[in-house]
Amino acid sequence: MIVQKFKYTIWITTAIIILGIVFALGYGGLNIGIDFTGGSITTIEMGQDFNVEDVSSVLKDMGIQNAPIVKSGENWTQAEIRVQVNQAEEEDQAQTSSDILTGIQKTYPNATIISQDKVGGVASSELVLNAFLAVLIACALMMVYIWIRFELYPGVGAIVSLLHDVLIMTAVMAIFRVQINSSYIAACLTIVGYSINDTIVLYDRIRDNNKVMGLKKYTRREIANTSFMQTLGRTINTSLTTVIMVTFLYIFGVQSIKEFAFPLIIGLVSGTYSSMFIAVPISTIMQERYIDRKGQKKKTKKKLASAAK
Amino acid sequence: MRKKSLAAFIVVIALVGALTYVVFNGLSIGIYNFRPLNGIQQGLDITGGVYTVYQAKDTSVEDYEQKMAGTLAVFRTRLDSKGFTEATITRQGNEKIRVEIPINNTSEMQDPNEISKFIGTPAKLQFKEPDGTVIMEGADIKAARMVIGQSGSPEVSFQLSDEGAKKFGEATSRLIGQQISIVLDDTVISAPKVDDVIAGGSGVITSTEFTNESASELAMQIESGALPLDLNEIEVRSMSATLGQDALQNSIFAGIVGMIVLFGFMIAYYRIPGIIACITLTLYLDLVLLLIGSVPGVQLTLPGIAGIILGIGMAVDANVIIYERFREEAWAGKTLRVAQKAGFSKAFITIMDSNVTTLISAIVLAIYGTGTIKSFAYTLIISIMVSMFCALIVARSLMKWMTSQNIKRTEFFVRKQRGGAVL
Repeated sequence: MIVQKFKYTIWITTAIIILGIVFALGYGGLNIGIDFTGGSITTIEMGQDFNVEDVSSVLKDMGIQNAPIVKSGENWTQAEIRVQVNQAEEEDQAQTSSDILTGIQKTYPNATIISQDKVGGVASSELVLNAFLAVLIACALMMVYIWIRFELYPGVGAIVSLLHDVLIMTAVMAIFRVQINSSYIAACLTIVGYSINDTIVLYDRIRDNNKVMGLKKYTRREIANTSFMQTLGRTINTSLTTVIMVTFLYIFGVQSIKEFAFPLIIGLVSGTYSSMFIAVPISTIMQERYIDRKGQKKKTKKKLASAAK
Repeated sequence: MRKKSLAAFIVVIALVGALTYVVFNGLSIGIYNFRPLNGIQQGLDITGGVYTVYQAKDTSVEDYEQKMAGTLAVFRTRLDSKGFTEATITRQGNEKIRVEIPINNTSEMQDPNEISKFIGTPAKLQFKEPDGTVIMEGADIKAARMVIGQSGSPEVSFQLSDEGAKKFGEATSRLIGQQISIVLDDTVISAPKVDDVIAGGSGVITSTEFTNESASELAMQIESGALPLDLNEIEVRSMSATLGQDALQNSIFAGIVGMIVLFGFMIAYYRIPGIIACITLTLYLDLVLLLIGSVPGVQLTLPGIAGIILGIGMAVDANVIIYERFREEAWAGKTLRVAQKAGFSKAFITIMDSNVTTLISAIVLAIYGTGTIKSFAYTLIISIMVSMFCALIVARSLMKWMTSQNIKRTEFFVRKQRGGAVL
């Protein structure tokens, strides 16, 4: 069942990713944070309700163009000002932010800077490199581990499903226009670690059933389906409990926690889905194709044909 | 056997209860005051503060390692002089220095930008002849402090080292009637005319632009020495203390609400095993908090809290795997005791394999991540270890004791099987 349906389930994935690409193109790229582009984010507490235009006119007077201003905070009294690194010379940035504050204080006397983040161009490119490196190394090591504990093809299936999760997370970030920064990378790596859990539990059951049910008597697909059904309760309960915890974190958390919790929720759902509908089918199909002897292949074909009738 | 098991079960529950009380309320025995939660080092994003990453402009300079060490020492002196004794200075890789400074209401300086500027300013002081030749540098100055001069305006008085005194004496005897310029960071701050030979090794710097503050700051910078390396400030991040405390409160609240829902779900779905899951999860939380408070170098940051909460979800997983297996075995007609044994031994390998893979990615994260991501990885590693211990050892014993109670009604442990066999 789950293996045969692979040709349909793969389209769900493809559709979400294509949708993500369409949205990303529509917006003119992903919403990439200063961790990757370099630049600064200054958060100013106004102490009262404020007009975004007042802030942007202060910025314009200072020659800072195209700096997005976002209202935030509990009562929307905070302004987040994002300045790209090329617009304000790196060395002058400290100066710039206090000038902005002075300008704003003319209209809103209670304004104070509550946080300022600044990332230089050098630091940002290093962050990106480290992030890619971390994902690559983690994937390679996990693949080796699965290869040792199981076989090569389950390893391939697992890595493809991890790639799937990261792609889906990125696509959803693109669709909802959520900013991608280092907490997104942390979320990706968490999901890479978590989603593999689901996959291993399924593989483990298949490995078990290969012995209990017997590969001679049953086809790999049948064993995969039985294992899927047997672990379904566990899969749903575990995903549900983890999603509950992270959802509460999202609901009650502050902005920086939300930024981390949102991609996590997407990744948890995607991870559960991909273990069942990506990792296992790929691993099973590859095993049928590259490991099975003639007799086993024949049996699979015969059973498939009779199922089709 | 039966009574012994029940006693053991009750003892474990009592112990977990006591531990929970101690972890959250602390314990005072005589003069010992044990407060585990106070031992938790809070990250900058919770305490509020600023962190800055500096990068050396040129790593090919002579004695680079020594100069790097010198720079770290200068940072320390400057921070201590402003009362930031809690600040941490760490070297990152070959060419970067990361400085984390907690700021609170009592701090002398409040503006994060000002602080990072203050510690990262080179303060390269030079005394130059009229033709630009350097007579001596800040390193030749032994001590410097702010004094109020005869005119009532602030000045910086300095003491020279022996070598500095020699250089200065020689130069002043040669340059009588001419001007010596005192240059700070390539800006001339004062250009006094040499009236007399200064051989005693002390003198004053005057400038019309000095205020009490700027003069004492300059004195401090001269004394702590010039930064041996040229640095670029490549990353600055700051967080206000109130924002951090709010975030902490909210996350704890989210964790509590999540736990309550989770406990309800586990008990409703798994019955007695569900209650055992709740006990082991409570123990898990206690142990994780204790470890975070006692393992050196582990800080509690906001992503770290997220890591703990995610860890709870993952700890539940281990329990779920065990109970699902247990139920299957019971449905297959085995007695509770046999089902418990079989369930655990089958679940063991699954839990091992799935946790080791997660551990691999957490370790990679700990190695390649920086700052808050690193602390997230540490909490995740602690979480995984503790969750494995709780599920494989504690939950196992509790289940063993409970299933040996000769409870006849199996529906206390597993709900009745609905429908036919699964295949």
